[in-house]
Amino acid sequence: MTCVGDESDAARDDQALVARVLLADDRRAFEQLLRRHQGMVRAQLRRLVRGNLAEADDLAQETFLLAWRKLHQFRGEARFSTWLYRIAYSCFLQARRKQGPGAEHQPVDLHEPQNWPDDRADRRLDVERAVQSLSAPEQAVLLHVAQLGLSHEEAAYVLGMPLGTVKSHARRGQARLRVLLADWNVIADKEFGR
Amino acid sequence: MNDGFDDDIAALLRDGFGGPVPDEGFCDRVILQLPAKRHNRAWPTLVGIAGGAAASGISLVSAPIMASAWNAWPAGSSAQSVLALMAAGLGLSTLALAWALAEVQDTGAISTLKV
Repeated sequence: MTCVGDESDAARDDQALVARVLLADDRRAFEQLLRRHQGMVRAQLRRLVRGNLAEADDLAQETFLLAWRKLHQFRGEARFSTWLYRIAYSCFLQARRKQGPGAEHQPVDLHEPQNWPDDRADRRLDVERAVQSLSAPEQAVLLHVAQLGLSHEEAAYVLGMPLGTVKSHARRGQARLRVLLADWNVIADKEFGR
Repeated sequence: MNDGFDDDIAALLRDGFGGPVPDEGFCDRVILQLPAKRHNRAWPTLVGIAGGAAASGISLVSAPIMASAWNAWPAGSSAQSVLALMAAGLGLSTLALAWALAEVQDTGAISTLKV
């Protein structure tokens, strides 16, 4: 987990790189921004498209090309990473609109090649199933708040939702997960030493 | 973590989240796709606007319709020349409004993506 100081340093570095791109048309600075943020943007999109790696990478590429073209519109009011998440989420929504209403109900690909102990793999499956039982807005809010580590305000900015709506989706989603994952909570308590 | 967020649930969700995706050549592919930056220079637009306004002014000043409207307007007459000028003004204002809205849509957000 990163601390606040690290985050503000990272945000300052991002701002400096953005300034270099805008003032000097510095492609290397943009490349650094790309390398710093591609991992989390692609992770966000992989979750949103439910494990379709090729589609996630296409959308991530589209996200960064848009960011390159529209960088002059980045005002620095949000963190650069948050701005990228917002573009990525918009690209995802636009792709879904093109694909039509059935596209949202694809199964999650849970077969990434990871050698986890059986117990952890089972838990992950159960968490995934429980998350899938939530509504799409609840899933999106929990992804951005719990997994990507955004504040409620940042999640509201990324998802284009009012802050109160984000908070109520987070509350409802958590309540549902608490019930569905009650057994795993006990195990997690032991595992994480609580 | 956000206030009011359940730590147990957050821990389970984070545990299921794979974290950042390794690069595996992604950045190199994107860099190859980056187009050259287009520099939006303001001067051609400004010269065009100034030139168009000057040409319109010169042609209107010497046109009889302008003198006719100039005389009829204060008298409250709805002469054809006044109506024609009002229609032209309305049309130009509408075009300018549409242009301004299109510009705002393009620059105030990430194009049509509502970002």
